[in-house]
Amino acid sequence: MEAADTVFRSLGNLRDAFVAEWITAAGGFASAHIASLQPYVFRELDRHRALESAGWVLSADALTDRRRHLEWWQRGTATTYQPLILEVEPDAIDCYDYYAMDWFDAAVRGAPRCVSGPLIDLPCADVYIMTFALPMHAGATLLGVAAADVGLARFESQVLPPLRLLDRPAALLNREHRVITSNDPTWATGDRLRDVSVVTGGTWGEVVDVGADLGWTLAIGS
Amino acid sequence: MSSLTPVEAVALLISPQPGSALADLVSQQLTDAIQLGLFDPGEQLPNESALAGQLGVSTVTLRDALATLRSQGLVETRRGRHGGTFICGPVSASLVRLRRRLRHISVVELRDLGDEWGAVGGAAASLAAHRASNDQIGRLHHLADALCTSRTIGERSRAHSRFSIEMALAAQSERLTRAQLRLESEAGDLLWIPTSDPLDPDCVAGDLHLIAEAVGDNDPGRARALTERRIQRDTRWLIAAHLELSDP
Repeated sequence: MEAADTVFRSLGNLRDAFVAEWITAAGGFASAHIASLQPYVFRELDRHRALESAGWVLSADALTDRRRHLEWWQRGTATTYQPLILEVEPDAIDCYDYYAMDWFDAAVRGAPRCVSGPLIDLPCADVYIMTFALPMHAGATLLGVAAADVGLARFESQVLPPLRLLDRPAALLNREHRVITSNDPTWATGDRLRDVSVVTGGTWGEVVDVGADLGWTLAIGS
Repeated sequence: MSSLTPVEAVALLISPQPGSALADLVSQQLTDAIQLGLFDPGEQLPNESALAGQLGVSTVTLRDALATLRSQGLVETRRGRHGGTFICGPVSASLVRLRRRLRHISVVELRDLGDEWGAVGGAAASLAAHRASNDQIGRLHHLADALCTSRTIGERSRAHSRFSIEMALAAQSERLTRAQLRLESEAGDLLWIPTSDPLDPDCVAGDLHLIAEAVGDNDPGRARALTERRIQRDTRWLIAAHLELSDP
């Protein structure tokens, strides 16, 4: 799935930059060090228009001076980026508890990568997105994830044209069988095809595994 | 200018700029030429390699540009022995704009638009079934009839939009009326774009009569359900039309 792999390549760059900097700091990596890494985020946002926002979300072991940190940048005007400031201290009443988020929890559970969504992202300007996340490790220590929000409309513009070449209805589904994009108006983005696994001989001709560990499938009508 | 062929005029207008999407430029200039009436309707364009040569672009670029023109209904390509690409003639400027709008909106956005349309329309119909006056119910039927007899895109979208707005008025809700007005001006006219499988005004009008009847019968549940079903169909049609217009 090239469109997804492209996003993960960007995240790989972000992960590598962070881990290298963290190792260089030799156990003394603090929140002040993160500013020097910002150009790496801007570079990925510059060259990858599908990314609505991107950054690093850090585990309790990453920083010497904070328990949690979210270094996240979103598109502002045409040429600028704005930091997303969220309360992440676990004791705060309005804490954005990313440890409870699927894409962060997946890293804690040892998954090699994760895509959450489609979902409406309320903390981040209520846009319709998928969150892509790649764990960052130094040895056995989980430092957090390099992650990005990808707009559904942009993702659609990359994935739908090849689906349109099929002469049968086809829908790209996530792990929970929610439509990511489809070439048929009957199944629109966000719909859930709950019975897709049992109807492969009925409505759907075949279900092809396309995302391997992402749990994505392509359901093709008969 | 008069001594130039239309193709030469277009070639003159194209000045390749580094970094610009050449196919977009070619299709825009050809569109302008057709809209200005430089080509005669029915006129056959030179074959692809000849035309690409005259315009100074690759055949790949030209093919992309022609696909755009086809999707806008400005040219058509016929297959077979007498095949080729033919000028359909100027399309009313608004239709070109409508098609462009529907092509550039994503499926995700159309689905979301339909969701809001259904929510607003369904709620308005349900409340109207409680609150509509007999006059208003009569007007709803009258607007459904107007949709049947309308002939142009403009007439159809006006009658159809007016029906939804009348429903919100009958619901006695200022907020729903405002929401309905916004939705109709945003996308109401997209519903009547001609495609290979256009919306049938008679069929839609039939559904609108059923909705007006449910309102007249003081049956909020039925009014809401029928409205939501109609809007779901409209939304699916919009998505299908979008997919057709953006055909590779």
